[in-house]
Amino acid sequence: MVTGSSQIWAPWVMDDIHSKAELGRYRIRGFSSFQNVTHFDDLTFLSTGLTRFPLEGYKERCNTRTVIGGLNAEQPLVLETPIYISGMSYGALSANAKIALGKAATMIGSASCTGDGGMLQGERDASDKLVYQVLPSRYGFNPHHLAGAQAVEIVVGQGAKPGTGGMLMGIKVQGDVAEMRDLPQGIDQRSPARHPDWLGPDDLAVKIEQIREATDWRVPVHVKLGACRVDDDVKLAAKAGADAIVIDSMVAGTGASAEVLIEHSGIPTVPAIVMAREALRELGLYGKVSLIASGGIRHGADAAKALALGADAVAIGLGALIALNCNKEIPESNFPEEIGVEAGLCHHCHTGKCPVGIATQDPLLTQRLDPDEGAERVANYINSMTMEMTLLTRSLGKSDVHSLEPEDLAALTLEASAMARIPLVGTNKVFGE
Amino acid sequence: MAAKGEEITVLNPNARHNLGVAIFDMCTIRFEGSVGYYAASMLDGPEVVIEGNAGWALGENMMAGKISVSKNAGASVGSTMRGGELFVGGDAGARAGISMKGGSLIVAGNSGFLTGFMMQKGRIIICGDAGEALGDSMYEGTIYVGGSIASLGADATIEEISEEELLDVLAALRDHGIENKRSFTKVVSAKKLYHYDTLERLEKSAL
Amino acid sequence: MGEQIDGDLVIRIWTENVQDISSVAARSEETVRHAGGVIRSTSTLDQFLRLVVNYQGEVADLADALIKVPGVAIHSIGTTSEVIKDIGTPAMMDVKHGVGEILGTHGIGHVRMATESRVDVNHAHPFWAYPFPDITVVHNGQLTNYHKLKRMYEDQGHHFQTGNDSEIIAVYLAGKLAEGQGLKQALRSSLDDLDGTFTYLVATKDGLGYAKDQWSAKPLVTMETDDVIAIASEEISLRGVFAEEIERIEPQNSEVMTWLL
Repeated sequence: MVTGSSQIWAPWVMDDIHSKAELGRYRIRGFSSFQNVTHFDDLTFLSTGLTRFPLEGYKERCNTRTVIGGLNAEQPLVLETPIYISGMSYGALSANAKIALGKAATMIGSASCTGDGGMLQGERDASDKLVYQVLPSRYGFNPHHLAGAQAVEIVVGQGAKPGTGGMLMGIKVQGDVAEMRDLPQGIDQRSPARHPDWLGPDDLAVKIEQIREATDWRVPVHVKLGACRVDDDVKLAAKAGADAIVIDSMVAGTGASAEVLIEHSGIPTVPAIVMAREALRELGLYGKVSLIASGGIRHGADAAKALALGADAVAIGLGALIALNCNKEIPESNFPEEIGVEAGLCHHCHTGKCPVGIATQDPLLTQRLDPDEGAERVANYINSMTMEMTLLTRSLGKSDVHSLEPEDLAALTLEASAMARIPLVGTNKVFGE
Repeated sequence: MAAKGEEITVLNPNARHNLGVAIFDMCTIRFEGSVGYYAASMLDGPEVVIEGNAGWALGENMMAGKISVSKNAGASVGSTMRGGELFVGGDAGARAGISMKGGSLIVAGNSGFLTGFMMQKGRIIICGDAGEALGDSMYEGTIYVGGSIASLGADATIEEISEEELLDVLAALRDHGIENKRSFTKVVSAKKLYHYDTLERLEKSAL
Repeated sequence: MGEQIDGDLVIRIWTENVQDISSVAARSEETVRHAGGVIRSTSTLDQFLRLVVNYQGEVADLADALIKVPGVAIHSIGTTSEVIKDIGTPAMMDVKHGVGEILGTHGIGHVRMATESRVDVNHAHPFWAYPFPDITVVHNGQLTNYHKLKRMYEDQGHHFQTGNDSEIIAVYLAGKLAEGQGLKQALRSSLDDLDGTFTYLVATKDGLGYAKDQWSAKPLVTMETDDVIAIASEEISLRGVFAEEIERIEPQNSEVMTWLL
């Protein structure tokens, strides 16, 4: 008898079909793509040897200060590290989680960002630098909150599910989450895919101007894009007047999305950054319009490589949640009993049953997350990332993380070489040009 | 820009965009002429009068106050508005009252395609005819139409209008000198799209 | 669109490198003569060549011959119309090309924010429906079945000069008109056959028309008096022409309208 297993008709594919045979609709989950795509691990730094002078760790400074949106804004966003915390909704996350993230951002001199549910007062109180998102749903949108933000981010799409809107299952649309969103309790919320008042890049230009009027032209206006047709989208966002462009890749996280969207739309982080950079260069706006990369930034090496490829800053989502205890078996939790899988394998954010109190509205669960302790963990994590970045940067002979450039990297695979437009190790050749 | 309690008249607005955005102080503003996109958007309190047409997104996300435009309003009038009253003396374009979260939108004339799309709360009164896909995907809120309805959108349904409601609608119209409309069709959400019909094991509530 | 002189065609050609214009002009003139045309007048300005030609044959044959000349991009061939497109402001267009002095019954214009294809003069609107004389289109929006339609037309032998989706609207309409459909009917067919967002204007020898997509996603406003009909994306553009208060109408979704001379 012939044995083996099909790669195409794998066991998990069969399980998926069995489920859909009962469900009769598309499947939903949270977390991130399971696809094994080219990522930063396929790039490596070329640290100093004889050609360059390495910098010492302690006495020799390595600057990490980052300015975002200096093009038009009177008060650009100034961060002490090029890493800030991405927008995730109050609703998808618990209040304790949002507050913890806000506190952490303040602790490290960086920013946090609201999300598809409006601004939680607790987050505003905790976060010195808050980026206020304007999403298609406009849930909880308040012009006073907008006017008090340190930056505004118009969300066109997110990497996990580009071309569609937000989603929150009924179990989480409870209490003040439902109230803030002006939704009936318990409804399975599916946000609109389009903005209600502007429908194309030409309208976006007018919308950006409106946001500037509403914020007295003080703060940067960002445009967040899910990475798909990066060249076209970045050029249009820049032409429409964005001060900063956030490019969110296919491996970015989500609290709840249709499985097919998570897996089968969007492009990886590495080519997204490169294409965005080149699009800005063609317009003569590289270095003027800030480029922020997000999606799969896990540690300081990822962040450093993102900057080397051309980003000015990175935003972290899932990473921050994992620092908060996502997928960690804590004393109060019991993953197999409570969520049906071992800690480390959970991606059921959309169920609202998060055993560590992050992606839930259940008070019995949210109390397992202490905002102050959580804040400290996230701050530690981002500090570690920043230290990793500076360690690598110094090993390259550079005193500023913003001096990182593509020539500092070599590609470990053909795909990475083609996507990053960087030579393959051991060769002078960039594959795919 | 505006000081509290003042009355301001803007001459020759020339259909420019972004006039009167995010004004929170109590005052009265009169535009003598047409305005462009986003006029009086994000308003929180003042009264704004426009003698002419308005472009797209008039009164977008208004929180409170009163806006009236004498002639036609372009697409997305009252987009995501949360409170206050917005009156259109002429016709309203497509997506009037889209994603409304409160307040009252009154259109003396006709209203376009996808009026009340994804409406969550509040009230829309159309004295004339409503275009296709009226109230598509609305969650809550109510739409009253005095004329004909080209077609209802997904999950929108006609419900019987009570005497009390009709009197409320007529009273609101009387405030704007409209007395010739006596009967209205009431459109609300059928609430059939609120939930996914089937859930996976883990998606089911513990309840 | 101006006066028609029997058998005369106005041909507007553009070439990418300004150094080439004299040789392109010479070769184009030769091609016209070889095809049996008589050159009435010829003028060049920067990268632009304008020929007035008396030609009795099929415009399609002349166009196919001219397009083979290296460096030639044909902006328009018309019996009563011509397309003038360049990079710059409307004021510059007037100064450089004398647009303000042109007399005619109707015309269309466009300012471009490139959504997908290249940013150059060729990819600017209006698009002439090669090789059908006097049919031009300007478009706001993004067609989403463009590539499929383009391949279909190419398989039928049509020739596209750019990768811009708007060009296909011109070719589509010309095709329908050639089949014998009236302008309004052709516009109405386009609502079903074109996928994506669009508001577009078409100018033919006989008049003007517009079509608005099924989602009313792109703006359009019109103003009409007894003497004139004006159409624009935003009212602010019309205010420059009409100072007085005229009824400004915003068309509905899936709407088409024509005005014929």
